[in-house]
Amino acid sequence: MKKFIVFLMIFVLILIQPLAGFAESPSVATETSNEASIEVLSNDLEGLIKNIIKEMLQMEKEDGQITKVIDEINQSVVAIIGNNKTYRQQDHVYTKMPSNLQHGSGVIISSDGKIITNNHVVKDMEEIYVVMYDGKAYQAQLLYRDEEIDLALIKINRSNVKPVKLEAPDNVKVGNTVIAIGTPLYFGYRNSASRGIISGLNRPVDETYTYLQTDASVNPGNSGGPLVNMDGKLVGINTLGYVYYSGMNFAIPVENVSYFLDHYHQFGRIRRCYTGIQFEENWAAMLGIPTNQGLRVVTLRQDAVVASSQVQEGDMLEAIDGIKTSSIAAYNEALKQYLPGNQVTLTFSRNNKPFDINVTLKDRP
Amino acid sequence: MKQRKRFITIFLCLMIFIASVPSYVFGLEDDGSIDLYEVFSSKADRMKTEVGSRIFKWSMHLPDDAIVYKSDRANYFDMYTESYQSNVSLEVMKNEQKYTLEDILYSRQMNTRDFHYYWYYSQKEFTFDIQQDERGEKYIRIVKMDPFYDYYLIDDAAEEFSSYIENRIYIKNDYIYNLEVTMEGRYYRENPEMFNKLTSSFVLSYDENSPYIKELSDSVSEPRAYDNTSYGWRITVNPYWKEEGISNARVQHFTAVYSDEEIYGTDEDILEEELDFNNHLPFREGITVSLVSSALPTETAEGWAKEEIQDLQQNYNDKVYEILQAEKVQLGDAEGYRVKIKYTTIPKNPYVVDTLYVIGRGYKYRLVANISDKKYNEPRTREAFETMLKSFRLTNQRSSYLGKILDPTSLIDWTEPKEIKTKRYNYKADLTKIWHTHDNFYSGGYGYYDYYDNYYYYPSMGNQESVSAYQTGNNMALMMMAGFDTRSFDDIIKDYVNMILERDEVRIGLADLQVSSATIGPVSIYRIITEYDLDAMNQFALTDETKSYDYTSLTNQYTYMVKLGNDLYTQTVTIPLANTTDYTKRSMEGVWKNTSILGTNYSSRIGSWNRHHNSEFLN
Repeated sequence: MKKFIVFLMIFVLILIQPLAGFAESPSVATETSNEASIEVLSNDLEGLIKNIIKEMLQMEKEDGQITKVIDEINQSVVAIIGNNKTYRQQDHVYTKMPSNLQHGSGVIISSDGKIITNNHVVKDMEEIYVVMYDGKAYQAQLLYRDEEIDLALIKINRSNVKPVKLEAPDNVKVGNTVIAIGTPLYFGYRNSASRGIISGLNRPVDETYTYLQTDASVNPGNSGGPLVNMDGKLVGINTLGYVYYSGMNFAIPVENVSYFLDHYHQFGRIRRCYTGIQFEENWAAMLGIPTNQGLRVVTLRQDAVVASSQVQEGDMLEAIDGIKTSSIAAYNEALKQYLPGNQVTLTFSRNNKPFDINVTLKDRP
Repeated sequence: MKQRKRFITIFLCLMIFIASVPSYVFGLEDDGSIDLYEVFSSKADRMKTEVGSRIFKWSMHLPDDAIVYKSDRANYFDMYTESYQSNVSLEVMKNEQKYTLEDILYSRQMNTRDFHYYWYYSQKEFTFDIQQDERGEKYIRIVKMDPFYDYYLIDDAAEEFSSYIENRIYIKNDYIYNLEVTMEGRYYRENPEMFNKLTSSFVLSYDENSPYIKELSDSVSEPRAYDNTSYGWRITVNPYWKEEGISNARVQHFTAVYSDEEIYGTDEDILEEELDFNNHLPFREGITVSLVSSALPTETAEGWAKEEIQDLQQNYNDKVYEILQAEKVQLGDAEGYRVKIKYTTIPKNPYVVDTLYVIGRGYKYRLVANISDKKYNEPRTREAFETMLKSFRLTNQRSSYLGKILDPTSLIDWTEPKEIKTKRYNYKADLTKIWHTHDNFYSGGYGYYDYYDNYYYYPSMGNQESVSAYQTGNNMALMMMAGFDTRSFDDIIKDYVNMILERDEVRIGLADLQVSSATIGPVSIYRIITEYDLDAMNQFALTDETKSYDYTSLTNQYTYMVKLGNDLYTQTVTIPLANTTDYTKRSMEGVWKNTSILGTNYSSRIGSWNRHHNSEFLN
């Protein structure tokens, strides 16, 4: 249909070309103003049609690109299914269908069959099964999962599978066109793709880490599936969204995926840094209102990196190595840059007077 | 030595071989041929192609994609199947009235006539007939359609889209079976044989030996261990018993899903008696397990049980109970004390309360089995209760949050003074904390007493004000009322006494009415006591089949009335007949002794009571 419209436009353009030619050879002086008007009109019309054609060709090119991206990435997208072992069987309902089946999505990240998904997809599964794009089913082994970052790494026993490439975090920009692929709502809808843009970065959805926001459709079952850009590279793992609102979905950004994988490969787990200082968030942070307020110290654990003579209840943690910490998510994001054993400068304030303490970060128990 | 070396060599070779198996297996690539239907299908139910009830004796085809909803007793069954685009429901009810198919047909047809026939509620019947199925069973066949579409669509279109519904009503096994199959209209017209497959598969029998039938009650048909992992105990639940409500509750109730008659089949007369009895049950039959509180290191199950026995003896008339058993029992590693009491508070329907007091792991647990005496005397039912009680064990699996649960009764000094008084009238009683007043803390408590009216309305009085209190454990209640009453005191007393004299039990001498008065200066005081004669009541109830009494709700009344000017002051203490003992009566007498009106305690100033003859008050 689109092709037909493009041809039609080209045809119209050919038809109106003589109008311009005609305008170029005036024979009667009194007709000059009319001729000028016709010339302007034909020029405008020509420009307009050219623009339309240009945009349509561009759209067609994009369509082709999206098709190509989906086609390529589909081979890396898997559906994950298993019995949830935490559900209590209801005695008043009986069906031969397993009533505690749950499913999600995942994306292959290595050719030897490693798959990344959300922790919440697999954590309660009795056994994990993976269904590939080609319909083949495999039992997967859970290699590692982390509740806080909500990521899990599983592996199937199949080689030469196509992994997704990870985008460099610096290339992830607001406004980038992205495609979410996964298994929304019903297992028969495997490898469903939806398109959107990156609506925002560093969104403090929960207290742990920040998320990437997108308006690409993400529904229950999409969890763990990839969000890719137009280069077919992974920019996030689709994780959650608001149910009764539209276009408010969130993905774990690629830098957190890399962080998870790097730590797993280096240490077999995420090694989180620990200060032993307990904070409360201010109400502005809770509401997402920008503020310069730091985090209020509530208490120090026995193994805290600071002593009670240094930090007291009510002190405000303003920054870690100069990075502002106005929310707990920002505090966690700041600590993510370090490893236990690293030295950092914690900037506190007491009665509006700032003071620094150099500490050695501990390994979180 | 050689042999040893050989053995070690063989052993090492074997170990290397075994160790190499997983890595070899892991090295093999999966071919991706896993069939998830096989993986997720229940091994036990894989072969089930029929569904049915051994209790209600029926079965029918079970499509592989069916989703079944059943009631607790599985006497209501509902099944949806997408393959057949159909919904099947079955209701099984006892044919208590011994209806015939003709009776039911008549009843159904009559309901469709004239003004009963509301288009909105009724379905459009096209067939109303009595037919025979393939097995020769007679049934009422009703074919109908959903009238909903007729509201929006014209005739043919409405019939095209409307669901096709067929009811088959059978009477067999002393039950009425109402099977209703609803199939999507267009699908029915294209696939009538699919509809027939469902309806014709319904049979009024249950093949115990068929491995293909999914029995709807099989989840409860075997004895099974029930673990309360929040409060650390375990019990073996009898076949056809189940827990009620959410699991892991602090108070967990277990009850039989079916009666013995339903499971084993017994005389109809027994069922009828049971039904009748059930209407008058003062408790819910079954077993209740609860964690009562934390236990002190010095507390023992025996000591706890004996305190409760003492409490019973104080608060229950010894003619309404009999202690059948009171002895130590061993429940695994915990010591318990078992107290079995037979209550005759309802003379026609005595019941047994079998209580296990258990202290262990720092907590006090109580198991209470409530059972009618009639059932208690049936070996099979008695055995079921016994088995469950004896199976109780304490476990170490309990919530990590379970902490200290204080027993509040031991924290309160019940002899501390407590004043009960009206707000406007200077009318009060100085009692102790054993008397509870009605407020938010006590309402909806543990069911000791359910007297919630805070305001007692007496039609002859204006400007009324009342205050009430009650005791737990014996259901004794106090009502103090003051108000404006311009009638003469004699008329007031006469009206009041007459009202009591008109009670049939008083009239025939089953209850005794004593009216006495005293005078202190210009003030007259009346004392009106109505007391039932327990022996006479027992005799009366037992000799007349039609009379039934519950002594926990039949109350003795002790009323004092004083009139000062135009204000009438009334104080009534009621004690259930079952709870009328020397102890409760002393408590009752203590109320009047500590009552003052306008600052005067009349009780202490009364020299003697002047007894009146009841005939003085007759109209």
